[in-house]
Amino acid sequence: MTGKVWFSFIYLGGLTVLALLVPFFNFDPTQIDESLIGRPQAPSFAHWFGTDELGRDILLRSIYGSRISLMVGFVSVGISICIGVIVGVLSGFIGGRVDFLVMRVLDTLMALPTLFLILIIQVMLEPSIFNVMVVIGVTSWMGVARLVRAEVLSMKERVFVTACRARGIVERKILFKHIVPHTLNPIIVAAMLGMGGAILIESVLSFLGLGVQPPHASWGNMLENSLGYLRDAPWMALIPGVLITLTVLSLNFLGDGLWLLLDPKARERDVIHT
Amino acid sequence: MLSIRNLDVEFHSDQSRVHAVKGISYELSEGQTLGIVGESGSGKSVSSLSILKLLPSTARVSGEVFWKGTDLIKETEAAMRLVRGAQIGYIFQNPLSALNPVFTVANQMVETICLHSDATKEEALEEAIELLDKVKIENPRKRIHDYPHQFSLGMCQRIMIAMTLSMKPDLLIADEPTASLDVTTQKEILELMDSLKEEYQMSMILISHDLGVVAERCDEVAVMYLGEIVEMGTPKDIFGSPKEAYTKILIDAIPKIRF
Repeated sequence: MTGKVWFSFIYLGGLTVLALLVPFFNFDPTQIDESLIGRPQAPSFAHWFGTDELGRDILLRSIYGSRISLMVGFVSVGISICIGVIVGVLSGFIGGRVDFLVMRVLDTLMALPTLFLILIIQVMLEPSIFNVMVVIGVTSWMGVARLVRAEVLSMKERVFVTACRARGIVERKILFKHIVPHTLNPIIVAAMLGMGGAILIESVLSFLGLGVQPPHASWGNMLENSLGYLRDAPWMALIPGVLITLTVLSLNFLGDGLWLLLDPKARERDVIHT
Repeated sequence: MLSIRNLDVEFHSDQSRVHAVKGISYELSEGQTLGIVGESGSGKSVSSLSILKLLPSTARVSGEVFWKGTDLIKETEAAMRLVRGAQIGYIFQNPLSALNPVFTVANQMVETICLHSDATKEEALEEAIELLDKVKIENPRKRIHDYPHQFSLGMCQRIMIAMTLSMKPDLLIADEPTASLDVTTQKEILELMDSLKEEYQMSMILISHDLGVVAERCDEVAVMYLGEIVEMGTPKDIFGSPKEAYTKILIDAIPKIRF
């Protein structure tokens, strides 16, 4: 395990704890300090990350923003993994023409630009965070399905599967008990990488005003608010920007780290390369 | 008990077709042991796997496999599931790859026992421990909760034998059961199989490329070459007065110790 994996782990852990605990304290991220409207304050002891154009505390809004980001990450990846695992497992196990057909449909779906699809849906429907999560989930399961299918394809040719059959075990049980657990490693790694992508898409949408609506805080709309104050109050843009970058990078590092940890073959390759 | 007539297996792929088994026939009566010898790729395993219809979907199988009066080739998958394990047991060449690496031995044995009887999980676990004791695994009560990779290859093969016996088959197909083991373990496993065959009164098909293994314990021997049975007879006939050139080559290939 390298330093950046540990850093990512601690950073994401800390962020999650803060995000989970903050509602238990009596803080209001939408509270406006009227004396400070139009005059963002630089970071100080009273406001560690400074205040925004309406005198709201940026630290508090950042933590509330992380709640949105993490929730979008979890829920949309949850949806995409559910769909992806079901499609991948069935397609790989049934094989033949079914598999061919499913894979061509996947290719077609993968060719659709996710972001624009989400933009259209958000414009047509009322923009809501619920829509964002569902749409990200429903449009990003193809990668998971491919990974799972590949794993199932290679697993079902293994001798122990034939041995299960030779003992008279039912196909359904062979699939779900003996094959599916082997697909867990690529799923975990894909989940980490997928969360990073989902968080990024949510930030983009909120930045464009199609995600989380003001006055609720999200890293994306905090960035948007900062646009008018880039010269006078750069911290308003820097803080959510750095948070988005760190979070997405951490998820990627953690995904890579877990991949190395879970796949002994990958570890060997890594040793050779370094 | 088992009668195979004109069994023919062909593998089809987009580019090529391979004729792996070319119309072989043999009979096996109750309590007998049939040895099948031949080099790699001669169709020993393929012909045996096709008895249980365990070949991949690219295989085209024709002919007749009569088992206790029914033709298995014509049976449905559901009917085959009742034959597999419970009536015909199969032991694979590499025992470690025949066990699922992510589950403990207990888990896989209990699953198998519960599938073929009405035993509860506790009863099945007790039975599994007894069986492991019978195949001479030391301290079975503790070791049964280990994973396959924690056992040596020889022990894994003992576990596979115990698992196959738990279903009390009438016929045991042993597909090179000792090919991946070292010589001393090989001897132990073969002796174990001999005694268990006696105890459970099973018939056996023993596939091997080791003529010595086959000569000692088979009632009949079939020599396979390029998908055909080139010679068949009692070990005495085969080894005493081989008729086919290929059989002679095989016998000549047995290492002789000279000092």
